[in-house]
Parts: sequence; structure tokens; C-alpha cells
Amino acid sequence: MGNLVKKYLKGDSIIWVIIVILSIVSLLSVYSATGFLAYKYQGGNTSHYMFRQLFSLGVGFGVIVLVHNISYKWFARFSLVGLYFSIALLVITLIAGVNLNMASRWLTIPVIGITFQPSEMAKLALIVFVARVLAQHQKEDEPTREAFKPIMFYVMIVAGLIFSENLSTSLLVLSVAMAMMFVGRVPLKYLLGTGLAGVLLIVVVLLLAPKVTFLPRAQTWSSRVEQFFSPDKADRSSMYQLEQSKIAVASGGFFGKGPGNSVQRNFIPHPYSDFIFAIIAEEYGFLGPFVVLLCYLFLLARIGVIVHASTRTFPAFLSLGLGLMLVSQAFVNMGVAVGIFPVTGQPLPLVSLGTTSVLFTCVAFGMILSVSRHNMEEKEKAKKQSAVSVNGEMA
Amino acid sequence: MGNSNRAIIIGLFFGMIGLIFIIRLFVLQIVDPSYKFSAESNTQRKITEFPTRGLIYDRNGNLLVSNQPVYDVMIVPREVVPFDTVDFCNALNITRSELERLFEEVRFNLQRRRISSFRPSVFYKQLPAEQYAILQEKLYKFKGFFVQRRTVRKYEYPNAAHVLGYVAEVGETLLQSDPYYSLGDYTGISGIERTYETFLRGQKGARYVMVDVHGREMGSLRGGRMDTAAVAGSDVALTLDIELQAYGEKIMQNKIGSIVAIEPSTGEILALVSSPSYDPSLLVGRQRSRNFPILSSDTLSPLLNRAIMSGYPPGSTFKVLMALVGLQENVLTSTTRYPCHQGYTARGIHVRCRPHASPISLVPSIAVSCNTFYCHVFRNVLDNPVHGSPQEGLEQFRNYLLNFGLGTRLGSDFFNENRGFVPTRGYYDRIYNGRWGSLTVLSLGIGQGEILTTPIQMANMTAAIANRGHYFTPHVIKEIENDTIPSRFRVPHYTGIDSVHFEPVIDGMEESVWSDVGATARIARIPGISISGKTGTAQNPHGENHSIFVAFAPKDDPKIAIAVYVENAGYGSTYAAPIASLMVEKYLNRAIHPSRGWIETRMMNASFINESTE
Repeated sequence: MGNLVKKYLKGDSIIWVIIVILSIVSLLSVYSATGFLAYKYQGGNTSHYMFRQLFSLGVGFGVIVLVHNISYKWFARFSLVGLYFSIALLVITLIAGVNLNMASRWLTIPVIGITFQPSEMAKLALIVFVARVLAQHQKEDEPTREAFKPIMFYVMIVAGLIFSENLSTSLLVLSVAMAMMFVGRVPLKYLLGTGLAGVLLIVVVLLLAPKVTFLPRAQTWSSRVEQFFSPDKADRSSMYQLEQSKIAVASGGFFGKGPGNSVQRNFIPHPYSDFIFAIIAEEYGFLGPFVVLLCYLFLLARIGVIVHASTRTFPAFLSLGLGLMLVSQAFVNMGVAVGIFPVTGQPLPLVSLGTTSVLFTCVAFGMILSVSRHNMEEKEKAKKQSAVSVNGEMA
Repeated sequence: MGNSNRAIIIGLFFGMIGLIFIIRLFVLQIVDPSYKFSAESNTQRKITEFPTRGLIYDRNGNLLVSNQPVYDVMIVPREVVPFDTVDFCNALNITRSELERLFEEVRFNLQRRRISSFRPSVFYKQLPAEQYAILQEKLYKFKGFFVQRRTVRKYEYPNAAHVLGYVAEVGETLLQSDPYYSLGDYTGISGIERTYETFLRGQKGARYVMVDVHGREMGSLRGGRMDTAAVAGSDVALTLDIELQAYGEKIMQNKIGSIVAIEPSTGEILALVSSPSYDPSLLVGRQRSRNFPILSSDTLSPLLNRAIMSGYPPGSTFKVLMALVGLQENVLTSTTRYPCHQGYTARGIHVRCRPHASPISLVPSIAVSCNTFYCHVFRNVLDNPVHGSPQEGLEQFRNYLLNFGLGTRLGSDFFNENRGFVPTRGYYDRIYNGRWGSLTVLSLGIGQGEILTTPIQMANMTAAIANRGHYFTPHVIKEIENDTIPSRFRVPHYTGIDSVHFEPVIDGMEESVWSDVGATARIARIPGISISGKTGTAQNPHGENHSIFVAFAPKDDPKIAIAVYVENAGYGSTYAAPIASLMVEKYLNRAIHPSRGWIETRMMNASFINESTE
């Protein structure tokens, strides 16, 4: 058994453990949070959604195993193709997207009939691309000026395409790209300038929200932000989600209500995705959220180890970018649930119900583990070589 | 590699955010209790069960006030889906623009967060039962609307509006001061509805139910063990005789004034008429908002309870009191005689009197209402050497009046009694710069001048005379279910006048009705009933004088004491006296003697409203 695990699950073992823990948390909380949904759409088959999530996680696990055995060099090679492909999908979605949750973020694949969010794929493609461009332009002791333009070009395209329907994801993509560039030593003034321009743009859009009719969701953003900064002005229905989420967290107390005992799942909209963290807090008290938070922080720490161990720049940037993407997404989700961020629809990676999210999160994990596997194999090789040379000396 | 330093910065950044999360979690879960309470209110809902108000009966057990159901149309804003507005308007019997206004209101309240879009709040108040029947059939078409049953008052008689008062939604001040009330509750605003609110309102009950995410009821909480039933309000019986009350209101139609009738032996108010009056049904339910402004802006002030609020000079009716004070002060005996040659003259002051036999003694002085006689008595009371000065004499005089309940609130069950006015020594000192004597304030002696009394005070004074020296605080409450009436209504108040002194005065009052010579109130004679009374005319600087009559009957076993005021009707003998006699006759005989039918017709038809409005 141990050998079998070693044979097929290579790379950083702590990350593997994190994946397993998060999967378990996911199954438990999704099972609890989808009761209402199950009654509404599945005729009371309460485990329907849990099994669906189990299936997604199983497939995702396979994806990780598959992807982490691919050499990261292939990712670099296909990055531009992947990016073009996702941009094309985004355009199609925008034009003919299936309208779910009032945001056209979904695309139905014609043959299989599965709906998925192209933005999830675009995020990944973009991060791989950014990592590649940054790596190409790295020079010893010199800022990487030339990388800024091509990166920003594609970041703006992707963010722009997502932006009208999914503001938070587009901001997240932008922030991660900026963080990667920051680490990749793109001059700070470029980044600050871009950041400032971005903030200005957002402020203008939010202020003009009632007048921009071509952006149907502008009103939603504006009200969410307004409610976040001045809760007494917001109308009750938009305050509701946030308030109910806080009630969930608070009523959990230190010890929680116990698995499956959430009451607030009946009051929070989307308790299985956007607000799953609140349900975890309600059922498992302080401990549950703490473990989840620790998982993501450990992931970040392990990424740091991987980045440090990388001898080449592309895998370092790649794992850093993917890690930041996952962790910041998780943090936004948690921040919304405890009322630190305005309400947005970011899923908790690997925990929230949702096949697209789970699969692409697994692709990201797979890529990170691929880099890790590579690093470890190189280290192994180096050890063997040194051992050989030692032996040689002895011989 | 310089890159990894930068990576550490990012790592630290995330570590910081993680720390913030942990602190935030800690605060929410362990420190801050505010959201834990909301968690309770989320799943439970307390539904108030409104008690029905106590019923009100008259002294003979006739039901005066009961309750009728109305239906508040409730709205849960979030559940409302587009509907056929024309159909809805028809169901509520409102216009399209009214509907728009109602929705405007809902939107406004939502914005101000006064109401929740998830919880029910009142959309349209007090839909009458007939209209509810129409709505009920269609209600299923209007998602987010439902109906809540309330009760409002139902008046069985169009009478006694001033006594009963009315019920309306509780106001801001009471909401703040009394925790029993919450927004939208009803409370007695005036009359006995207000005075006995705590008995009539009953006890609100509460039902706790579980609700789901859509606010729908999912059954009772813990099997209803925490529920409390509403306790219906206590029924009360009033001292009013509704037939007498209705008769009094009818006879006072087209007149301004009041009638107060009291049972002397108990202080129970038999009738309390203030005219013009209004039908209490006008202030029930949705009609109130339309009718109240009409009533309150009416120049004849139908909402004003003149019987307890209006102060008039008592006029000649005051002479009976003057005589009693004189007798008690030993400045007058039943044989004292004064000459009267159509007036009283002293040091340039002349008070006129009508022609009658002279000299005149006490009994006939009341019967013919001689001014001269009482000018003498008044001056003798004030200038009585035992007091030292007329100022001291006035104070002594005033004390007697206060003992009769004049110049002070009687403490009846009407909270807004007017105290009237009996001038003090200080009052005249200010007016006359300290230099005044009995002659200066002479008009007091014949009930004119500064003194003001209310109809209820005069009726009470008459009751005290009928009782030969004491009275019970006038009141309209007779019985309270499961409770007793306030004890202050059961203790006698003594006037400080010895009972022997009442006999000559009462004889005088009898003579004023029955005497063969000069009786001022001959018209008040009732066959077979020994009614005794005194006419009065209150001088009215603004127009025709007010007609006053006080009386009680029967003379030896008084059952009713009455004061009648008719504004702008001239002499007391012309209108107030016949009206009072009809009331007494109605009460004691339950019918008017055929020989007096003409008086009744004339009184019913008399109108003094046009004169007063000009």
C-alpha cells in the first residue's frame, strides 16, 4: 500500500494530505448544506449532491494524478494555445452564455451537455502564460521591464471578458498577475500605476452603476459594496446574506453545533458554495474554520518551499501563481463569510460544491505537484550523482 | 535569488489576512453576542394574539359597546409577484392610485428599514368584513399577501360618544412610556375607553412558531408549550341609563349645551349629554381618518365634552349655595327679611331685580330669584366681623364653594375635567390693587362675575343639596368584571353645611317650581313628582344669555339631580327648566305625561345653533 501510494502519488506529500483533508471537509459540509436543495430538486434524495461532489472529487483526484505526472515543460509549451482557446470560450460564453444565477458565466458543452465556467479555465491558462512570459524575461540583477506589456495585454483581455459578469474573478486574476509580476521584479512603478488605474476604473463604474445599462450587474456590485461600507444605508434584502452568514458563524460558538446540525443553511442563499465557510463555522465551531484556514496557509507555505527548491524560473513562477490563485480565492470566500469582504461569488477551492471549480482546482494542484515532483526527482538525481561521484572517488 | 524575498512579502501578506480571519472568527463566535440573539429570532417567530376588548354595558345591562372583526391585509414584500392590479383594487375596493400610494409606502418603509421584506407587515388596515369576503376568494392569486384578523369597536347605540370615548392606534408617546404596547396596537384615546384602558384591553397572548427561510410557519415551537393565550378584556358596566342618555341627546339636538344627571345617593352619573354630539361609529375603523378631521374642524366642536370642559357663570342657580353659606355663617336665618324695590342700591352701585312682594324672606327669595336678598347675604358673609376683613370673608366663602366641588376637579373618571374658577383673595388683590370690599365683588353673590362652574360641578352641587350635605364623586363606572370600582367613588364628601340648613333652601327650590306666586320654574312641574329646582341665567358677553336649570327629585327621597345648560337660549325658565323636567320625568316615570307632550315637542324642535354661529 505504502509503495503504491509512493509510486502513483509523487511530489510534496503535505500538499497531498491537504488535498485529502479539504476533500473530506467538502463532503461533510456539502452533504449538510445541500439538504434543502436536495428536497427542492432531487425529491428528497439528501445524498444526491454529496455523491455528485464525491464523483467530482474522484475525477479531480484522477486529474491530479494525471497532471502531476506531466512534465511542467509541456504546460509552458501549450500556454499560449490554452490561453487563446479559453479566450475564445469566454467570447462565446459572453455572447451565448446560459444565464444561471443572473450572471452569464456558464457555457454548455454541446455534445456532453455539461455546463461549465470558462473563466475557471481562463484563470489557469493566464497564470501559466504569465509564468512563462516572466520566466522568459528574467535576467540576473535587472528588472524585467519587457515582460510587463505582453502580460498586461492578455491579462486585460481575460479580465475584461470576465469582468462584466464576474467582477470578483477578474479582480482576482488581475491581483494574482500583479503579485506574480511583483515577485518577477517588474518595476514597482508599473504595478502601482496599473493598480491605481484599476482602482479608479472600479470607482467610476460603481459610481455610475445606475447609468451603465450595458452592464447589467453593475447595480449589484454597487449595492454590495455600498452595503459593505455603510450597512445602515443598504436595503434589507441585500444585507440579508451577510447578516445570515454572520449569524451562522456566531451561533456556532466555540464548539459548534455538530456535523449536520446547521440551522442557518436554511437561511443562507447558496450555503453549499459561496457561504460554505459559514456552515463549517456553524457546525464545527472554531475548530473547523481554523483547520480549513490552516490547510490553505500550509499550502502557501509548501508552495514557498517548492518555489525555493526550483532551480528554474518558470516552475517557480508557475507554482507561485497557482498557489496564490487558490489561496486568495479561498481567502475571499472566507472573508465574505465572516463579513470582512463584500459579498461575491468565489467558491472555496476544493470544498464548495461545483464540478468546474473542483476540476480546475485539481488541475492547478496537479500542476503544482508536477513542479514539486520534478524538484524532488532532480534532488534525488543530484543525490545519486553525488553518491556516484563519492563512490567513484572511493573506487 | 531576489525573487524569493519578494515571495516572502506575499507570504507574510497572506499570513496577516489569515490572522485577521482568526481574530474575526474569535470575535464573532465567542466575544460578540449580538448575532447569537438574531439567530434565535431567525427560526422562531412570535405571533401576537390580540385579546378582544371588554364589552361595555349600561346600568340596566344593555350592551353599549361590543367588538366587530376587521381584517388587516398583510404583505411579505419579498414574496409578492406581479399580479392583476385591477382585480386586487376591486377586491380591496380601492382605486389604482391608492394602491400605488400603498406600495410607495411599503417601498419607503423598506428603505428606512422600518419593515422587513421577509416578515409580514400591515399593507392595508381594517378591511371591513363584507369586503374581506370578496378578497378571500381571490387571495390565492396574490402571492405575498395574507389577512390578519383584528377587532374594532362596534357601537350598539349612536349615543354617549363623549362618555365612551374612542379607541385608536397607540401614539408615539405611549409607545415610548408603556412597554405593553407595540406599534399598531389599539388603545383608548378618550372617555372611559381611556380611563379604564387597563381593564378593557385584556392581556395580549403570544404564539411561538417555527418559520422556514421564506418566513412560512412550520408549526408551533416546542409543541406550543411556550405559548400564552390572550386574555379578553374585562367587561364593564356604566352608571349611564342609555335610554335617558339617548333621550337627553335627542332633546338637545340643534342646541349647544349639556345635561348632567346624577343619582345623589351614589354619585352615579345617569346621563351626561354634551351637544352637539356625534355618532361614535364615525370614529371606528377606516372611517376615522375621514371623519375625525371633519369633526375636529367643525365650528360647533362636537368633540368637545362641554359637560366637563365648559365653564359658565352659574347665574341665579348659585343663590341656593349663597343661602346655605349665609345660614351656616349665621348671617341669615329662615326668617330673615329684606326689602326689595326692584333692585339693590349701595354707594352708587345698583343691581336690578324683578317686581315681587317686599319685604321677602328666604324661601320665596329662592322661588322668585330675588337679587336684592342675595346681595345682602353675600355682603353679610364677607363683611361678617368674625372674619376681620372682607378679604378674609371671601376666603371663608371660597372654602364653602370648594367643599361643594366648585373651582376644583371633582376627580370623576373623566381625565380632562375643567376645574372651573372660584376667585381667590389674591386674584382680586391683583385686579383692584389690594383695595376692594364686598361691594366691589358684589356680582359674585348672584353667581355672576368671575366665577365659572362646569355643568358636572353644578349637577354635583345639586346632588349635595339633595343629600342634605354630602356628595359622592360623580362617576360613570358601575362595575368592572373581576374587579372593584375605584374606592374614591365610594366615600362621601361633606360640604361643611349642617343638614338643618338645607330644609329652608330645598323648600325654596320646591317653591320655585310649585309656588302659586312668582314661581320662576312653573313650567318644570311634573304631575306627581315633587321636583325642586332653581333657574339661572348665565350672562354671555358674546350674545344671548345661557339658560340654566338645576333640579332634583323627588324632594324627600332624591333619585336624580340634574343640571341643564342651553347656550344662547335666554332665561333659565324658558328652555333649561322644561328640558330638565322632561329628563327627570323620563327617568322617574319612563314616559312623559300626555299633558306635557307640547313641552316635549317644543323643546325637541327648538334650535339655537343658527343664532350662535352668526
